[in-house]
Amino acid sequence: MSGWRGQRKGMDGTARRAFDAIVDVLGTAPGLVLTRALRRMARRRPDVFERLGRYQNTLFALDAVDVPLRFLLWPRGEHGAVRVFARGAGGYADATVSGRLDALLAMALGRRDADSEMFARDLTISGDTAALVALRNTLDASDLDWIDLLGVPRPAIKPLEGAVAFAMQAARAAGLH
Amino acid sequence: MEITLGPLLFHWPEPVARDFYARVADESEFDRVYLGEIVCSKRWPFTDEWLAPVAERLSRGGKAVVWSSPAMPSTPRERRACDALAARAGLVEINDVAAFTARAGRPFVAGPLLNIYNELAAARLASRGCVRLCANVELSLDAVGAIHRACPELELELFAFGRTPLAISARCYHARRHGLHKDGCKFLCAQDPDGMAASTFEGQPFLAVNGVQTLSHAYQCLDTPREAVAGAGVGALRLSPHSGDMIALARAFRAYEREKIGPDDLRHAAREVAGAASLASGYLRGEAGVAAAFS
Amino acid sequence: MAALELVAPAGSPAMLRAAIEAGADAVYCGLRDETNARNFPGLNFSPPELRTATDWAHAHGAKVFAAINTYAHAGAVDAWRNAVDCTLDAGVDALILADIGVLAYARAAHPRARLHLSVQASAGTPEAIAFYVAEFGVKRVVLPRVLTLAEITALRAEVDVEIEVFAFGGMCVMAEGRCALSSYVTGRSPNLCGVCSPAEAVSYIERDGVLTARLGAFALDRFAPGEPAGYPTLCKARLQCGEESIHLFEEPVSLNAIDLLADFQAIGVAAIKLEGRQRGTNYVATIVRAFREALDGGGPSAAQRQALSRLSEGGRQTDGAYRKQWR
Repeated sequence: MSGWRGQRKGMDGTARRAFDAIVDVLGTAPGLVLTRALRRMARRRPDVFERLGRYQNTLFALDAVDVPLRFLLWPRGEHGAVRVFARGAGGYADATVSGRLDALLAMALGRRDADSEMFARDLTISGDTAALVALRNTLDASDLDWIDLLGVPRPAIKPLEGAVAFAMQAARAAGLH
Repeated sequence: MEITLGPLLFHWPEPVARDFYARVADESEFDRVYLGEIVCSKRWPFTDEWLAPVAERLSRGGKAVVWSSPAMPSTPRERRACDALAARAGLVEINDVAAFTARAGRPFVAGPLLNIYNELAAARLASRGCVRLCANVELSLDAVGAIHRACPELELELFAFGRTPLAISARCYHARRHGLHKDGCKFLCAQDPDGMAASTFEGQPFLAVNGVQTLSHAYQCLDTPREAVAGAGVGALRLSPHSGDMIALARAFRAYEREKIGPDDLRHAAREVAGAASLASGYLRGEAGVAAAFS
Repeated sequence: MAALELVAPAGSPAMLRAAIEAGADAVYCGLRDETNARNFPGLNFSPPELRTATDWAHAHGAKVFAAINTYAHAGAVDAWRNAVDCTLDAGVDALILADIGVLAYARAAHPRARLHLSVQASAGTPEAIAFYVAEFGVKRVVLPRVLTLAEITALRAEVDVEIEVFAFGGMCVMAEGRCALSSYVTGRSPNLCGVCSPAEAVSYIERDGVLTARLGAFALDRFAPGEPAGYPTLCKARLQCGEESIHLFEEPVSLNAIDLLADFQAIGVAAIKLEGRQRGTNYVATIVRAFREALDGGGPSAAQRQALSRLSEGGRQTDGAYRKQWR
């Protein structure tokens, strides 16, 4: 939970700009904010985590390949956690979805049909496939999207999309696209 | 334990089939032979030529002959043939539910292509005339043992050697491989006496195609000590016919069931028949079927 | 002539509600274990969920069928017996079964329960179906999709049982309930475990833009950079026989029989079944709406067709064997 400041220091220019843009939307300690929101949601919706079952212990990662950011999700209900890292930081994840940041966001917002995520090749999955299937099925059954597990409040979505667009622009300018 | 010869799954030319069964009749250890073209009715004009004389020869050689019913009858002709076989006197092996009604309670063997996976189903069939169950290849030895404990009167046979039948379809994949349909298949399946090898695109041996049937590329081979097999209630070991030396293989299995050799010694005779293909026994241990034998 | 009953998949309570709101007459669902043939992580109903959902369905004029259509495990048959007991206890209208042993148990323990025969029983001939009707009193049979309209008509004349046919979704190319390809590679098959090509055995490896999909030890397909990727289902594998590397068993294609509804009705089919418990709420709402409008409005519209085609595997569709023999 602590250390995001140190992390930010360790980021290069593009990552830092992207991180700052997201921080502007989510608050100064994004991991902290998102984690609290996840746990609040877990108290309202225990059915979601009950359905996830043993996959609650899976560490999921959303790895952006252009903007060097990484989101880690540990959906352990009231003990769950969300973290934001620079690419390459945050350690091992059990199941990873990687792709351009806007593709990840579209997936997180449920804008893409579950099966077409894979088909389209904008996103790549690796690691524990069963966990990703479990999460996908659980979200569908619960009428939720990844964004809800990541703790992003609905009103923050539009500003977040703006921040992502900005971050991607920065990445393009830095030749990371 | 009995050593039995399963029904020939592949499309062998008549001279080859006749010679094979002559040796089986005259010089083999097989106690019982299952006979019948169970995979594809298009082959019947060919097999009809030699099945009856071969059955005759086998009986004279002291082998018990059990007729085996079609795996998946669907056309009116196939259904009639299935009914006719079910109406036969003597023991028959049933490979599709379609034959149950016509069999009407007379004794039969439930073949490994039926979905009999547990003691409830086995008991139900036993009450309708089933005297022996040849376990579906997906059943582990433990599962067979559980069926035995619940149905101690039911004879149990185990698929102890051969490429394992994995699936059956209405579509002929031998034909499809050559861009043809089953109706115009040109009997291409005759080219592959042990099935047509299908590998992954990386070149790893994977499956074997036999017309409408798909089998494993690896040859299943029993590699468990006899005591465990007997303990599971198994009274017969089925060897599925392939083009290698089945006579020597049967001899090896006889020595095994007489406890003259251990399971490991089956390896040599099995390798002779399997050739370059690997030997597997995963199913018997409750693992993935492809898992290696003798390891 | 009775109207065709529209039977839709329900992988979760949310999906059940979506299906019924979209106009399904009945839904089918399973418990969260190996007793049903869509035993995927995160899918299916707990017993309390099933009870609540069944009450809701009944209040909305729809029926619920419980799929207990895998084969019970030797020495561990209680899970299947319990599934029969608890789904009937939850108030479901029928059980969809395949195992002779489970059918025997259900019939003995619940003499008045309505039993349907699953496609997993692979009963495609009048003789096979007659066995199940005589032995267990099954009231309806779900037919394998390989039968033609002519064959279904003939069947109708020979056996007194309701007929349910698949009208949409992914179809098996091998005889259902009799395929062990998955257990050969992974140890788990649809017959015993309710899964085919299970996710825990799947891995995707990307190298130089080429994505390889593996199941267990076997690489089943590869996708060039930018090429749409798929799930490594065994019968959709890219295999090598001799020189070429081909989809030996099947190209990825979906069944779509929306143009055959009048034919089904004419030959006296009782119900049409839509596949896809694992496809999610949006999917079921879309397909049910399309089929509902087709059934009520006398024909599918262009918009309905497009919606269905977008949901077909690989974007391609077929009306399967219904018109001509699929050999």
